[in-house]
Amino acid sequence: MLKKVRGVYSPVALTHFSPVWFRGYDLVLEVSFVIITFLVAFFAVQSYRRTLHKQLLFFSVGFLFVSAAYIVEVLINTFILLGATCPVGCTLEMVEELLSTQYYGLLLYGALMLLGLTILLQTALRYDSRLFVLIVALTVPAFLLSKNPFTLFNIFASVMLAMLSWHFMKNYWGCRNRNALLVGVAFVLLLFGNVHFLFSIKSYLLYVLAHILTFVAYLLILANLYFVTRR
Amino acid sequence: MKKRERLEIIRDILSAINEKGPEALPTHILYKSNLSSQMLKEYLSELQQKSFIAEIRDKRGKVRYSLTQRGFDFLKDYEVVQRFIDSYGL
Repeated sequence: MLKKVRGVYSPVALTHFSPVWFRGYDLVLEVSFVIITFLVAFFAVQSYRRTLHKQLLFFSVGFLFVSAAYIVEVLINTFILLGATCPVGCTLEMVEELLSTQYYGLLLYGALMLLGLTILLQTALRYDSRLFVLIVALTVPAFLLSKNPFTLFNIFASVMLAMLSWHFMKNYWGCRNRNALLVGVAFVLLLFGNVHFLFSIKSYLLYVLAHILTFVAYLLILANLYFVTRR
Repeated sequence: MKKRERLEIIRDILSAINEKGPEALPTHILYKSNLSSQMLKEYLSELQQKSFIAEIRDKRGKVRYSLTQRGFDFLKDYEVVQRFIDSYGL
């Protein structure tokens, strides 16, 4: 499944699974993920500056990492989009370079996303900080050193999103508040989106569906931000 | 009865000072915030360190507290921040 390019296993077959008609649209959706996650991080840090409530600072850092991961994803997909026009006059070296850039971009994306999700977990569940170090020490190197980082990343991310969804839905059941429901449903959708990404190698449609689910999830998070800030 | 969260207690202390404003005596804050004197002492010291309140001593050495700009900002934005915190269960 994986091709060996300049001594590294290129996951090109794993990353380049967007249907042709969807190319470009996925990029637009990913830009919206960057903007929304950045807005949440910005609001959280502003709230921290007002109240000096530490959880808000950690929460903001978590969302900043997620936002940075999406920026890397946007760059990778822009690269793929531009590279898609290459084959007419492309040399083998150029193709190899394209593949290896995608591979390292994917690694960076995964590492940033896993760090972001771990920080969000630590903030939401308030577990021991030594456990946080342990999770990062186990997941990030395992992901970076794996021969199939894409699958491993999606498994780790799905477990973390499942735990976050559980926490946010529990929070909703505790307070029965509309905003908490929006956040809970958003994270359940993010989890479903991530699971769809995991199986998207089998079907282009799942890749599209994963993007749509993630987009709806971030719209709900944006709606929550709107309702929270409305005086 | 639900236990008050830390931010709620801070809001109650700052509100007590603001209501009495511009300065409030520790006894007034104690009465309004419904805390033990030891707990109030700890909170007042922390709020002073974080520049939410300022301590003022008169000629007789009597201590009063007033809100700083940061304290006013906290009260102004408390509801919004609390809604955000509640929505994520932080």
